[in-house]
Amino acid sequence: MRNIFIICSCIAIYALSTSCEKSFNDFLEKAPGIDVTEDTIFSSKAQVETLVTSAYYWGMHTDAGLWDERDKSDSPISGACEETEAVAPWFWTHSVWNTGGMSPSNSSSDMRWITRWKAIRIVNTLIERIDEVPTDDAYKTQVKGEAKFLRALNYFEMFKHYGGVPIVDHSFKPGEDPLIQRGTLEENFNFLIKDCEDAIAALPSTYPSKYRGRATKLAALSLKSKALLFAASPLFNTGTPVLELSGHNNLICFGNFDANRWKLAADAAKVAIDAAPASGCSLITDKGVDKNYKYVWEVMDNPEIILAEKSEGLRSFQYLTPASMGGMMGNTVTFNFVKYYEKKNGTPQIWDMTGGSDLNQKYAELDPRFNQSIAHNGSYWNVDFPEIQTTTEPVGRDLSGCYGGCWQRKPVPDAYTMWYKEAYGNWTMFRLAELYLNYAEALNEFSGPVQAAFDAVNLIRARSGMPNFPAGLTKDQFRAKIRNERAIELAFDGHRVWDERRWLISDTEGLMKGSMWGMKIYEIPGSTEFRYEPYVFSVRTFYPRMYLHPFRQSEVDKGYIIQNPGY
Amino acid sequence: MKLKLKERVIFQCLRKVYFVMRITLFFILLSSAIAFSANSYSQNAKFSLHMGNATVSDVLKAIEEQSEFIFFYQDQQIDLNRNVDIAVIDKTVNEILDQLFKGTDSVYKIIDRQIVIGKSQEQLEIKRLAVERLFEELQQPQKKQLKGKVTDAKGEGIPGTTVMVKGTTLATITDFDGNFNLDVSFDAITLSFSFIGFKQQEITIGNKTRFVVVLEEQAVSLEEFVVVGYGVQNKATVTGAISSVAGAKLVQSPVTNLSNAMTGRISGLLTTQGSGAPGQDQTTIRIRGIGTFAGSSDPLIMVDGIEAQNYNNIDPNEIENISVLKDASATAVYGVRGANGVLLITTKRGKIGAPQVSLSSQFAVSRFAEIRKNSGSAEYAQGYNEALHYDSYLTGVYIPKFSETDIKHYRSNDDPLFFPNTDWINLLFKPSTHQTQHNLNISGGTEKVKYFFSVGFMGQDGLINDKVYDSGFDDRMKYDRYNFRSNFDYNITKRLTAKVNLSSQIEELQGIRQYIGLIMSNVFATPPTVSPGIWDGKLIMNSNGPYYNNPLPGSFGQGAQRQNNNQLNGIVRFDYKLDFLVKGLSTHASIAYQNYNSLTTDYGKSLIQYYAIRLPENKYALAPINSESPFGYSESNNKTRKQDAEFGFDYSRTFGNQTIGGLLMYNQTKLFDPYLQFGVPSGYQGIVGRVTYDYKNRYLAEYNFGYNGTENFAPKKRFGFFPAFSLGWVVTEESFFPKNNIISFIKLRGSYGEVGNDRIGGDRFLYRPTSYQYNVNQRAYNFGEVGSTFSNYPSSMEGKIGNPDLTWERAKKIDIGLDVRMWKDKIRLTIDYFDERRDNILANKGTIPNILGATLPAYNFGKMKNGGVDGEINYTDKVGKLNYWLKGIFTITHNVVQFQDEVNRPYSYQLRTGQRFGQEFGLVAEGVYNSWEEVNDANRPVSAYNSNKIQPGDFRYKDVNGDGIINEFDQVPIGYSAFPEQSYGFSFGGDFKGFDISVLFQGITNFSHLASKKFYKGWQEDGSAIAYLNERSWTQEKYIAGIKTDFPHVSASSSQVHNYESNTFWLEDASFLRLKNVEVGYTLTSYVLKRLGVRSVRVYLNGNNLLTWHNMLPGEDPEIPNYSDGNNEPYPLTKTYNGGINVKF
Repeated sequence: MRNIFIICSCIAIYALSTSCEKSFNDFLEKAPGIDVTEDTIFSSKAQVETLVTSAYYWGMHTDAGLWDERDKSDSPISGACEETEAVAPWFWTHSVWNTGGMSPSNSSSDMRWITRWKAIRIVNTLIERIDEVPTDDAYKTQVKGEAKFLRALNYFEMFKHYGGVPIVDHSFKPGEDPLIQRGTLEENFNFLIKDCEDAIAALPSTYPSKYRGRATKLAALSLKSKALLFAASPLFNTGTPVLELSGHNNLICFGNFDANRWKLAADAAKVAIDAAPASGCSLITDKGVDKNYKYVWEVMDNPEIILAEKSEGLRSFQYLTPASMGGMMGNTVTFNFVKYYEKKNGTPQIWDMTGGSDLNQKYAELDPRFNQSIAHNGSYWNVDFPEIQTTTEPVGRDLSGCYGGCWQRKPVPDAYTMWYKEAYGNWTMFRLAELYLNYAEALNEFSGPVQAAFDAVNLIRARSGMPNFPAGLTKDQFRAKIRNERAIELAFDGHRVWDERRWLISDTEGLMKGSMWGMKIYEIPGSTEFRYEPYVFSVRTFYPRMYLHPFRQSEVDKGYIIQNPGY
Repeated sequence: MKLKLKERVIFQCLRKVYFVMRITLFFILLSSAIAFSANSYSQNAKFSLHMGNATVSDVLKAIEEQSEFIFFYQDQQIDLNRNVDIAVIDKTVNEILDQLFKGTDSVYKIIDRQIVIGKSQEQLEIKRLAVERLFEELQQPQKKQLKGKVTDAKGEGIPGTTVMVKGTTLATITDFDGNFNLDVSFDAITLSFSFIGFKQQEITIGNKTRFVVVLEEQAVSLEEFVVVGYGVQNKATVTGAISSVAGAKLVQSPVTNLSNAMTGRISGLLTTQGSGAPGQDQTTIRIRGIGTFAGSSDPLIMVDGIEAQNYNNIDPNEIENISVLKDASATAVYGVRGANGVLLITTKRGKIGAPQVSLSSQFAVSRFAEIRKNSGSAEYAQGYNEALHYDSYLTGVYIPKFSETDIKHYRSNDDPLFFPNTDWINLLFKPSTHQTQHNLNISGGTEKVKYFFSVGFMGQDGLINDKVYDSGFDDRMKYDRYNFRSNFDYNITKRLTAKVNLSSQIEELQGIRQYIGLIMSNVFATPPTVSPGIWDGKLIMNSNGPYYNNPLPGSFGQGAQRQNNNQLNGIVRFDYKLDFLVKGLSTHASIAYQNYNSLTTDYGKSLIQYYAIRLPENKYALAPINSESPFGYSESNNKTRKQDAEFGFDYSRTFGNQTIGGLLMYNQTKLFDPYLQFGVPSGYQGIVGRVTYDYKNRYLAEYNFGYNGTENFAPKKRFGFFPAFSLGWVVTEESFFPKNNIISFIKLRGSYGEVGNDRIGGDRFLYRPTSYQYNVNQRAYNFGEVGSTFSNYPSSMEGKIGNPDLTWERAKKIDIGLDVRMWKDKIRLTIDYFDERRDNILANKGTIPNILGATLPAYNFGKMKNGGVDGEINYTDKVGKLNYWLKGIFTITHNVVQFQDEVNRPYSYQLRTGQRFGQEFGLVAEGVYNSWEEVNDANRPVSAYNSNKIQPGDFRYKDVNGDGIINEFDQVPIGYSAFPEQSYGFSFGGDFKGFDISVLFQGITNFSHLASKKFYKGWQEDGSAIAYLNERSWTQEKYIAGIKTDFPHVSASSSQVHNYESNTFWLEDASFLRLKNVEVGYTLTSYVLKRLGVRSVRVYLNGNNLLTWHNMLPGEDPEIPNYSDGNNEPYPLTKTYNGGINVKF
């Protein structure tokens, strides 16, 4: 009987294990379902469009201080330099920039490190496989152009953060060694300029309205202009970096100064400016000298915008809205920055650093762009808050956190109110005015203050009602003025902190280092005027090593990255 | 010999029937015994035997096995070891025996089924007469009627007790009240009374015809059988490492979910409960700690043999027993799912007897066990300024946040609208809330059908005070649950039995629409200065400070959310005896179906909130800042179903001294859940096998295997074979072991085997190549012009890259165990040493650079070991009428990550490999700098934090690598991990004249907890400050005055990172001891009650989480996980005082 049991068992085991082997596998095989492979993606134009969208999603970034789901970053970059102080105490601009806390172990130093590599893998895949898609060649060319533009954009971002990074020009295949070392700064630069040029050749000048937001030829030209401007700037265009990286200086600078880099930058800006009309791009000049500027940042997709980040439709601007207006703190503009605004006659405003009793008058005298960028005591915010109150005495409603005495207003649209806690918000990545300023700066550096440089910058000033640069400026004077002009025209657009770095002026007192001044404002009883009293509300730290970002320690530990100097 | 017969029958029944409750075994025995006496056995039965070189003993056994004949002989009278050759076909028993004893002086006599063998005719005749007489008595029993009643110590009748005439198969069972009638022959000598859970008692009949028998409770026999994977085994002979707890113990804890009731009661279990929120307060369970650093460490949970999607919502009143399978031998049958141990939950079943009705009802009051206290406004404002003063060394400037006038107003509370002092904790939490539980269950049965019905209700309320503000809708936080269960057992024919289990859990979870963690954080972290709360019946928003913190709009101005869950489970199982083919063989098939529906309804509504605006002449206005919105409604649902099927053969047979059992089974599972990755159902499939061998209850061996497939691996790698074997030796069964009163039982056990784990992070089909996911709205991008063509375009994103080489995470486990019973079983001790090595751990590579830009799949490369000791000791005794017991359990584990593809860290002491999983790392704090001299000392290491702006009152850290810089390279392993390594429980109790008491302590050691920043860093992100902060923080004045402080100086800035790096000071010892449970009860049985049809009434009081001793900061709960400085805080654990009544009919 035992035998019978054994025999039965054997039969049962045999039956189960052999006859069921196939049905076993069938049972566990993945049923047809939601299942999209890379082959599916490259099987039709409609499919590949989803991946192109994804490339834009991961590849286009905003530093506006709007919540960015991609990398969980939220701080407005304006708080990193003297433009503003981010009031929310948890914003990484404090811990990374204002107190010199940028470090390899602080991942907030660059929250986009991973996001950018995701984007690069997507565009590499697109470049490699777009030819397999059964569709028209024009489309394939366009997608290659878009992919190269996005690759160049992300390489440019890393170029300005780190110098040279590993050059990844293909998507990694399983089994491939991914530990690619940093390319030199020049290799990185050449790689991204080549991508720009390929993109310029491949991209259309315009798209149908429904594709607004995709990279155009002009966008690629603008990127090239910006990249060349950075390459020509003192940070990189040198043989002696701020801090030596022994034996590896070529990772962080070109290794020599070459004045011709300014020429290339000027030429590129000129080519882009000249190409603007073909892309339907023009400066906004017809809304009135005190309205043109706000129109540019408030009205989405106006003709001056070359390319904007559009990852979100309706957005919450709560990080840019003071608590008193229903937001989450806001950014207070420093007095250091307010001082950059000239008077309407083009001369510097005279502020009494011991205080004065004519604040309203002082404000009224300023460049019209001041009113359009900054909310100050007595100015309009929106229908809910027609009058901003930032007085210290008596305590103004909007005072909490307003160390600087005024608030950053740009780019919060009027439509963002207590009732409508969302509004459309694009983040301008390139707009035409920037190209003129690029051109003027580069031209001055290469050729001195030639007329073309004056013409370019005066065009921008004129549309906001500001007089021309005075004639007869020296190269240095012109440089000082064009830098100030960039600060004003491109205020809060995410330029200032990077401009200061490339000009190697971040560690100047009152810029990214030293005292941040604010303004206490007092009502003058029986008068419509207000007394102002400047005071230091914060002292910031900047170390020379912060001219370049550190690579994350976790990456350095993997043994393929040479860390930047000083970290 | 007769006793031997009984034991054997018990055994055979045992082996044949799985999932049989221990009490039913006796009924099976009984019914077969009765059937035995009623029929006459034919001597004409024919046998075929073919036995070469066998002993006489073997032949007799073989006949016994093939027939119902039983041999009676005295060993010394016949030569049992004589070798014989027997080869017969279709012969009667006479013919075989004639041949067997040919040429010997042995003779035999057949009396019905009994064959007596003797040496001489004379002795044989004596035997024959005795047996014949006995047999005649059995045939003509009605000679004397015995009556009686069987009760327990409390005088309560015990229904279903087996009353048997000793030495016969004549028996009956007691009725509902414990009464029995039995007709016996006049020469019946002894009556034996037996009932599971009570000591068997024998009473001499003598001349008595009426008996009152009091049975003594026997704890040991309660656990005589243990539920094992796909079966039931005898505790005495089980060889796997299994611990268990009876359902009766679980009911003692007035908790609302099952996992919480297990804490401290079962050895080998490590538990932490991370939240006390109604309906979301389940406990995390780890069996013997954590064995993998990458995959899931959750144990497999089986309810009545079927993997459960959710077990926490089962009413503890439905539970008979929970078994924890710990070693490979016990879990190998679960193969790929067994590596983390298995929890087997067995529900109650009916017993033969009149219906027994049990009604219990309890009412409890619960409150937060431990809650922190924040400072009031004046103290808050002053402390804030002081903190800013310290921070000015970093930020450069000191600007007080609050003016002296502000502080004066806060202190005098003279302007509460604009200078409020709001204790949010007091305002928003109720001091206590209540919960109720009711259960009615009925069980009983006949020989044909047994049944168990249970209906339960549980209602639990939250501690958010909904009375603070009338929002106009019902957003009371509550959790209601309805449980239904009916378990049936059918004896359809002699061979066919069936079980049908139907159960349902209906849950309703209601609460505020806001996420509870955020509300908690808002209540705890909102400064008292922010808003006066409710003013003139209006929600007042912040007068200064951040907008988002105020807990009022989150708690009352969001609307409500309701979740209705409905789970329906059904199991049908058939068992069919195949004795006609092979004796001892049976087959079974079962199908289980679980259906889960969940509907979440969301009633969104915002209420008007107001700002207070100051008007001239001390007047004020409340200005609305938004408008009230109508209810928004949305709903979402989730429906899942799961099908389990199994089919198998079971075998159990005793051959003389040997018992062999076997199991071979096929099973498959399919889960349909639309939210699963890829949207396709997931499945498991496998074969399970077991062979058990037992020689004289002395030498035990068992072999188990699981052969499983999972969808996660490629076709060729899909199936894994997981074998385990175990051996046991019952030393006390050896003849050389002296029979004594001190040690009555010793069993040594050992097992070795392999089990697997295929679960890693919820991903599926891990072997498959790149898969893409479409995204619409989220993670998509917009093109077009705002205002006209702007629209959202869907995107697609690469998933993980596939890895076709993936296979099982494999755990190799060794267990060595010892079971001892001493002093007449008063002491029972079990101790197990275990060691586990896992390799092929499915883990993500740590050295892959970010520049890859893709998510790589898991690879099989991790190695980890885990080991330790667990055990339990029980002591049961009585002094007079006082019965008492003590029980201790302990679990000690330690794991080490042996390989995990870690990056090449600059210092070897920073390697995570070689440490326990989850080892905390941090700087070594060596007090604080007390003066500028110390700070300015040229030898002071430079701090990489705070830009080296160190001031007195900052932590002094150890420069571990001696490079003169304090940075992350000075972080070393500190403390333990955030999951406990050691746990113990100690309980005792007793009963005396109807009173009973039990007390349970639970403790945890080797457990570290990084203090949450809100407990030591005030004002951060403009949040609240804890009350003791100022008192404990360093100041120059306190230092000079010689006042001891333990915190560094206060700080409010996010730039202050030096002091708040993870370090030895903030890492707390989270060991704790809890008075987990106390129960006091009184049971009433009286004649009056009996007349009313009530068997007993028990009233009781019990409590849970009553006291906790720990070393952490006041208000911290060691079990609540660290929540750092995030925006969410867990709902604290609650303590519960409960009173109840249980009525049995």
